[in-house]
Amino acid sequence: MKILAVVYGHFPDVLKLYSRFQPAVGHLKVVLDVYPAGGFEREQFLSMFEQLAVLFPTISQHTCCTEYESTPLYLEEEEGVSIKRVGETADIAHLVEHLIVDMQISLGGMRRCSGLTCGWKDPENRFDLFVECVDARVGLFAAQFAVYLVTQIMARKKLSLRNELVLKLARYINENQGAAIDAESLSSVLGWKKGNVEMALARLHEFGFFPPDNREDTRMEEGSA
Amino acid sequence: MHKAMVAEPKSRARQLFVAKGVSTEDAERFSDVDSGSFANRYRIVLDCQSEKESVERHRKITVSHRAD
Repeated sequence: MKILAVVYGHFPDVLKLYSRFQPAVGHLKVVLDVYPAGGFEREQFLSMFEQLAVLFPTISQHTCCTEYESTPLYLEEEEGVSIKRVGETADIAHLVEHLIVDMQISLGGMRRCSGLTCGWKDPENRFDLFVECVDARVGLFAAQFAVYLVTQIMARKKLSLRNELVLKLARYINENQGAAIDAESLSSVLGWKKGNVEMALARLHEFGFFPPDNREDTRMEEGSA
Repeated sequence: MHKAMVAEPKSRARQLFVAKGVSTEDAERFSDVDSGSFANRYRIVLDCQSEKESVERHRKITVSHRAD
């Protein structure tokens, strides 16, 4: 699975695709190639959802596929599982989208966030994910971290609980802007071992949480388009 | 993933980040979804939504359950 591009801004035509999109809020567009092609088998899907729900407990509260149930799609729904399964490659892209949406609320300070997974006609393994977003920095991180996690699961690797530290540190930094973010200070404030802080900081750098350009440049005021 | 520049109308300011190996032509194509047959571009569309209110409700229930 590979992210080809991430675009942040306003996409007026996308508003027509989903009535719950808020017109004044910008979108993150993630262009994603998924391989190998194919959806999840039921057991694999349930096991994967279970693992992700530990890291992202709020995904159980998501609403899913409320506007497309009349389309000729077979959407498989499981009790207690908020994400519906189509049984094809779109399942994987859709899962990534759910994780990005979840992180917009838990890290990005949004109260409500909607997203769409749009599968290209050609190539069939390419997807545009549109997710409401108010901060490109958080969006870029969320997209890359989500792809990393889903890739780990697809390789049948157990998700390490160290990923939870990455999310906690991202939240702390977002909620305490201006606070010192060197490993020493964070270790002292959070009460974490310095090695854990260094690991989490390295992950945040790796997934674009600290872009090299000016921090102020990443936010788009509502209605600025 | 690095920041890239494409020519965009000023009214449609966008930030673009592209992966290594993505050509400028592809980057421009990925950035632009407002032109052409946008509605016909996709074969499948799936939606989802999360709201903080329901998340907070969930947390409250979880906490009270633990307290009991």
